[in-house]
Amino acid sequence: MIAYQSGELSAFEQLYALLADEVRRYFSRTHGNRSVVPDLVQETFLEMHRSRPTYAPPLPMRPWVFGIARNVSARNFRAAQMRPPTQAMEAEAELPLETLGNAMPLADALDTERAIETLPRSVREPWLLHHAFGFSFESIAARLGITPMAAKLRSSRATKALRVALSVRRGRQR
Amino acid sequence: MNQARVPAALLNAVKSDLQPVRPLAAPMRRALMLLPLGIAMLVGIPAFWTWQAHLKVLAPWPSWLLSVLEIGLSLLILAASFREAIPGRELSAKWIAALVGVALMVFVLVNPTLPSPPQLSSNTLAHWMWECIVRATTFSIPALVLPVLVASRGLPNRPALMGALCGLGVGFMGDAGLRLLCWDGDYAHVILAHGGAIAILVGLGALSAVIVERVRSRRLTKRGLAR
Repeated sequence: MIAYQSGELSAFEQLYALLADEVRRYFSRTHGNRSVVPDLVQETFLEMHRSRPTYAPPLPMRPWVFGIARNVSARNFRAAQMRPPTQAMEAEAELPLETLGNAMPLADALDTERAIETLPRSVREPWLLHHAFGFSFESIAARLGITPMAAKLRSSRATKALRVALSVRRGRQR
Repeated sequence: MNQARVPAALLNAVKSDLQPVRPLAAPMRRALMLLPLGIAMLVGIPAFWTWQAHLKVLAPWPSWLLSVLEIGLSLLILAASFREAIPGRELSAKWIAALVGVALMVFVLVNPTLPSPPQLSSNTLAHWMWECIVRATTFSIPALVLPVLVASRGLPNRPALMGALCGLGVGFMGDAGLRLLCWDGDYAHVILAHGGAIAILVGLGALSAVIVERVRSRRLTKRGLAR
């Protein structure tokens, strides 16, 4: 840790090798959602890097590292509390086009195209840019002059509208 | 030994900012760096509020010694707050209880050494209370910024507690100066006015530390590798 504080990268790699598994186990125990664990481990080591001046060398290192892990964990819980509906919308907005198609097997390409055309322009553009052209929400936001969150929301609304439109058509076909 | 490899994104982030750093000084040493602030409050509050007009009514020298004792205690509380901000070195419940207990004891023993006033109307007493709160907080609230910033260099897991301790420390500094010019040593006045000023600072300290921590964590969440 002293070598790391004096700027040696190899010391950081050694610390990572030594502690990553323990930190991973800690987050696996404290978080129900296992998919966030690798992110939290990385976040902890990044925070450890930012906060490296707070470590006082003669003291044991593990309490310091796990203190940081607790901080990262609390921050993650707070962030999750602040954005539950958005996350759900984000997941929905990121559904690939094929998923939409699978959900409605009777809807053919023509129906989908017509349904897309009926969408208001404000939500159609972000949806097409993301699902048809594969742009990230950040680049869509930059392109359309809106925030990434707004891009996600508009794309999500478009998905919902498409789903409704296509299920109506499917109903008619039956 | 496990040979886990550092993910590339993390390694790049670390590489981009890998400068030698000096570990933070011990909490007590950092608290001692705030001694000039304590002295400024000890001398500044009575000097400012009694400037020229009432210099003669300032407390006698034994009272100044008791105020110096309060400044010492405030530095100890600030050191505890700085320690609370270091990951893995958080104060145990016993230590916090002991510290708050000692602080209360000193507050209760030191302040009523002032003379109690003769029977006065409740309006006058209320006016004095208000005066004491205003006089203490006018100096203490701006002074609170410095310890909160010093403490925020750490990574507090309990920012509210850390800030409350900062507020308590600065509150004692303010009280050390305030008691030198206060005319009322009555228990009700001491507890409501002087204690009230300290309570305000404890609340403000907790609030400001939480806000600082939230702002920082929001910024870090945005900047983080994973998101």
